Amino acid sequence: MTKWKEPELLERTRHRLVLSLVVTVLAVLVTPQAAFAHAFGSIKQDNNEVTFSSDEDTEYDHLWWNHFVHFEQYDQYGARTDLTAIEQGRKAYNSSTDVIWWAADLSLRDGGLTRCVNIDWPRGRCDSFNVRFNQNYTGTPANTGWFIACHEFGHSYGFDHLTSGDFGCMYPSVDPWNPPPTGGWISQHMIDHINNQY
Amino acid sequence: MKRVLTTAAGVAVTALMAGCGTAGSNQAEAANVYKDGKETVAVMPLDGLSIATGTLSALVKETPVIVEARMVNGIANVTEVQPDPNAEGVRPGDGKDIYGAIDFEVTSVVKGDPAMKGVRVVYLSGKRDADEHDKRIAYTSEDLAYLQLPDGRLRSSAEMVGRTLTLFLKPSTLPVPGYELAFPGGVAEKNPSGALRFSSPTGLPPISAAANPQVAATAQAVTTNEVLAAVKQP
Repeated sequence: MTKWKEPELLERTRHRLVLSLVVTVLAVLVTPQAAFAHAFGSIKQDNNEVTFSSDEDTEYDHLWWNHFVHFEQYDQYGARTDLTAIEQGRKAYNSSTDVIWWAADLSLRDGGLTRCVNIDWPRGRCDSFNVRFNQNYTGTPANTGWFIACHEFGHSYGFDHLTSGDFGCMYPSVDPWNPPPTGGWISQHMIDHINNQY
Repeated sequence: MKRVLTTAAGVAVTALMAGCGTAGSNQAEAANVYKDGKETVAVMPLDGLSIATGTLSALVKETPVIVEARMVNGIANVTEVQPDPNAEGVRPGDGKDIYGAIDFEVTSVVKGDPAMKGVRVVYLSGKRDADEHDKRIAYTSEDLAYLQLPDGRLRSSAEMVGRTLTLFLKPSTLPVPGYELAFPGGVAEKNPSGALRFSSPTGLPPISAAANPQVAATAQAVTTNEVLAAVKQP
């Protein structure tokens, strides 16, 4: 058994303490931070060229929601990030279309719903999304349309809900008759995440 | 030692930054695909926007059934249904929708048939892949936050022992019988003080105070007694 002289023992103990401190600091720093862990989830487009098309049967629903989808895709996501938006004609989608959207009679408590219906298996990315807007909210104030369209497409680009900080249109809830005045815009935080990702 | 500390801190900060800015590395994405028996399963969130109502009273009025319950059993994949090829949004060759069910023992009926002893809550648990139908997309949903594991499977009843949940329900509109959650995040956990913590990102019910980011900080938690009082209002 090695016998340590007192100064050596003290020095060795100090080294161990410092090493423990470093490991602890590392563990805290590397642990995912909640604010970011919930900001950008696992559902994502497979590339930065996003084709989208309406499959809405009803003329009024199509015209109302298409206005918001079109301009959110081109003027927000397309113009302000590295994404490229490519609109296909109504019902002109094919098997490689990235997002098909339509309006449906959802629960009164659902503004819209986004889900992946086809997977890029090797990468765990999503090849095809379906986006449903709640037809019960067709004709609400325009800011509701901007908010919901921006929000649901935001999910398809990888965003979870954001409740603090620079949340843009990813706040989880909206009052359709009293929408926030700027809720339909993407935030700098969202732009940064998209540009890092795609 | 100073040099070691500097290097370690540098590595840690780099790792943290990588985790924030580019969370979707290929490695991280590959981790979302796993094997469940013979099936390959990819986990994807089912995500949407909640509509806020004016007050708790209005929310309760629009909710047909409210019960306090304990989870008994969860069945992740109970029914598979081929979507109507003529329905909106259904692509040629689309795979089947997969529904799950969760059985609860009712301990108290807040609103609804007082004789109700048990309730089955059904939900969309996933989908068969469009190209390879033997592969499954498992959905995670904020609605089921307390009941679901990060890989989409349901928690076991043993894990839920001692936890009382308040369920806000409506009759199922899905192709399987039972009840659905009446609104996104419509399952709340009751803590010992009677306060309800909803499974929404804010932990709050979707009432209008929480709908407007400018006033989100003023949104209040809801207690069981307040729900009861709202039910009793004419």
